[in-house]
Amino acid sequence: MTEVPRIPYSSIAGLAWPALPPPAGQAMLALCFQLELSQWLDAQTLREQQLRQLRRLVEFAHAHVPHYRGHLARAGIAGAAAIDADSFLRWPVLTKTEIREHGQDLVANGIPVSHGSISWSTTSGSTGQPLRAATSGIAALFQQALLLRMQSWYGVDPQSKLAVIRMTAEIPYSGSWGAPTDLAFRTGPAVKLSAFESHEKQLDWLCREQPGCLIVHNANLQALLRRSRLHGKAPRGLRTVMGFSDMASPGLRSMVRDIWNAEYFDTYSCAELGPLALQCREHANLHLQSERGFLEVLGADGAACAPGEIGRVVVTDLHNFAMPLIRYDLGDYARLGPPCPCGRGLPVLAGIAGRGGQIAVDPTGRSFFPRLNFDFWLDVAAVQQWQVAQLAPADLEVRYVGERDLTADEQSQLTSAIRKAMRYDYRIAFTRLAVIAHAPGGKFDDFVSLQHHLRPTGG
Amino acid sequence: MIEPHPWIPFPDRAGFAWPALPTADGQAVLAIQFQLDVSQWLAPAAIAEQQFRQLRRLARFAAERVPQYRGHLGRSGIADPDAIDAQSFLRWPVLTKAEIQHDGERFLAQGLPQSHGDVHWVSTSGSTGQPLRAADSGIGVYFQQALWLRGHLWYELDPRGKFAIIRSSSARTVNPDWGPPANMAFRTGRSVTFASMEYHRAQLEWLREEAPAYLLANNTNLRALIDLSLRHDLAPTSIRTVIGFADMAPPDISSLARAHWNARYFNTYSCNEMGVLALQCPLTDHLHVQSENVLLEILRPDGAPCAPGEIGRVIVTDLHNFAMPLIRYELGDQAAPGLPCACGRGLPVLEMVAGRTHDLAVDPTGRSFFVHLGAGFWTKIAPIVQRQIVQLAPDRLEIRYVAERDLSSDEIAGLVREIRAAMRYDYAITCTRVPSIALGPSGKFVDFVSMIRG
Repeated sequence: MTEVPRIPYSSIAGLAWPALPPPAGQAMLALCFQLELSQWLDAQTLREQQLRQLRRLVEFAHAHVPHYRGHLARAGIAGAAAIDADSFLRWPVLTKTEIREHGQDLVANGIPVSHGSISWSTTSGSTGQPLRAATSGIAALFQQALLLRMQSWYGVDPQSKLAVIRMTAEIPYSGSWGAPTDLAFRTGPAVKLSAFESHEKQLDWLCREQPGCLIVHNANLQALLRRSRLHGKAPRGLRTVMGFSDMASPGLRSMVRDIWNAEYFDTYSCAELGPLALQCREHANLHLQSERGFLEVLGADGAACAPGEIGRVVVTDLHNFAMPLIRYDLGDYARLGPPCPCGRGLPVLAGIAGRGGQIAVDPTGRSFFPRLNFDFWLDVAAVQQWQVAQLAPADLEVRYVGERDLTADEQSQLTSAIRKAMRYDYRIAFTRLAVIAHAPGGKFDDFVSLQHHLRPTGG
Repeated sequence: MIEPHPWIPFPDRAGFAWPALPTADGQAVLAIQFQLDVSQWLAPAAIAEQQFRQLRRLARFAAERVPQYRGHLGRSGIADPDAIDAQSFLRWPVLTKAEIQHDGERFLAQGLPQSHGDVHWVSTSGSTGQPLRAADSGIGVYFQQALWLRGHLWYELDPRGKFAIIRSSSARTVNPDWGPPANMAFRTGRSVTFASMEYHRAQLEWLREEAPAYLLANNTNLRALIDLSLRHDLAPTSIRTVIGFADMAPPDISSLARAHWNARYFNTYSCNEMGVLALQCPLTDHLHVQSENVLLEILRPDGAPCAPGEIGRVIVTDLHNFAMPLIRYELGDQAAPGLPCACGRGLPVLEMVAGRTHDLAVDPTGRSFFVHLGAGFWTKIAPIVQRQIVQLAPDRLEIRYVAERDLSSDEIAGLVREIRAAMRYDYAITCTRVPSIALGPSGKFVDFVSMIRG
């Protein structure tokens, strides 16, 4: 497909190209310019720049945020200037429980006026524990710049119609995409729908609206694609689909291409920081957004995981001085991968699980991210929604929504497929449900574990 | 302490190191660079489409507000500015320097929007030795500067390095930074300037004393400096990158810079009225037209566009100068369109054939130097339309000039006095009024001609 040039608009009479947009748009493009260059810096240089910014943040937090007073000393770090990748490992990890219980202590006693006004948001996050977070205007600006990078990477045409399906959809239609896109670009209209609507209604809506670009939860997207294939209905004119929130199943990219003739890109974000990783423009890898967040993957002992090792995701928001989140444990598990062949220095996140509950175990003690091929499942039985729940180390339950019970033969085929994919002969029960509930916060997981105290040991 | 990586802007907000949010001016600079970074990779057709979007705005404004262009649309058989495209634009009359010399006032816009900034004036004699004055808007100058910055980025200059400039309009100065636009968003090293009229020996000694990382110099002057450094073993070893401008690049200049100064060389093509017209590709020796600011055409004698490889006249339109719109302006240079560049950029390729050039001057003591006396030098003395200095012997010059009348004896006395002062020797000077000035070998206009051989 030919890429449509993304040309900003100008606020100066007579000027069309190149453009000088209004000040807010210039600020956005100024950040985009830096992101354009920084993505190609080597990993070492990126790390150096992150540490430069991190030291500023720590210096500020130490002086102005009650929660962090004494952190440097407790971590045995002489001063903010002494922070490096090694010493930072001694800085205490911040848990969601701490934020919920001592949130007020995390708010800075006065941020510089130049950081803009503070906004508050409430999030449930991956673990479903709601918490309130404050963000400075500048930190929000940096988040927005990454959204523009995302659009730029994926060749999104801002003049097309944007469709968003997510939990909240207060304004079903607006004439433009809103910030950050319309700060610098003339955009097409944006339409929104609640993800709580039935998939039948969602698909009909997409076919009617014919957007050029769609933003949707991955699990919801999966369900829409299945329905689309089942009923032979597909939205026309769709070029780009960006998935978020839930873990993308391995076949999602090819399903979007085959069923909707569109390009699919995965993203990994959290409400507090915005985009943490974006799929590479050229490859399936997720690139960490190192200019914004300092992301660590830690083993059970708190040491940094080697590439390929699964560990907890701990992030630091490098720019939010209003309520600095330093070494914040997101509750997700992930592993880092080898450098991407695209040449970008931004590190690669090779696998993510929404939370510890998405890690499977077997009775031998092995833990892993289960990769269940839903495409295959659809061939076995025409059902609308699936979820595999681990009840005990050797016991799984397949929950499904469908018009009829699965036959014994279908159950047998699925049992074989799951055992093969998960490399263990689990006992598997099948339960038909009217609906499979989303996790708090709206995320949907195709795998849930009811096991506790998991300690992942490998991919 | 880790040094910031090159080209990471400096922030104006407490606590921010990276990425940075510079001041409003700096943000504007980066906003333009972001677009230039993207637009260079657009397909040629997409670039042309954007150029014509901008051109239609310019043409509409010019038709309404600039006396010279009133009626141009009608005469060109173009119904409306919105109807301008690559075909219909070929019917828009070509503008000659003589027209601007004759009545430059008619080209000035009546009522430039305030948002376009202050009007700046430049004097030039360009490739043809015809002095004239041209106005540009703040915005127009802004885009010109942005393209020089693009060049710095293309050539991977380290902004912390010292930048030396040798040009005709400069005196010896030391400046705290590289000046706009680089200093609006980036912390840069110092810049130093020197006059290209100084003896080459003095220029070389200055370069060795200043020890810059980068040098911007007139191609002819640069070539002479390299020659002299070779003869006297005086190579300025600090220089990593040399950027040549103004005169045609001698064919061997890149290899000489590499061999004798161990420096990378990049060529540029520019004019005083519009700034950068083309920059050498960072990866090849092609010149890339800077299509985001100029629409550059190469025309056959009958006015049709040249095919790749075909030599024709260079006609340029400044897309952003609304103060004194120069639309289809004939520079007096010759070039040929090139085939697309292997680098992948969609910016058109230009093969220069004939542009401005200078011979070098000498004095009877054997000192060599570069002579370029700007347009303002001539016009303040006498109403000269075109001129050329010819060195007949080490102590003898002839000034050939085109004008509507003979110069008075006072004007000639003034001219002789000024030239002797500028060239630092009491040459015997004759002034000759001529009907026209012949082009030199290969059709080039030679600004300063030396008849001294060997």
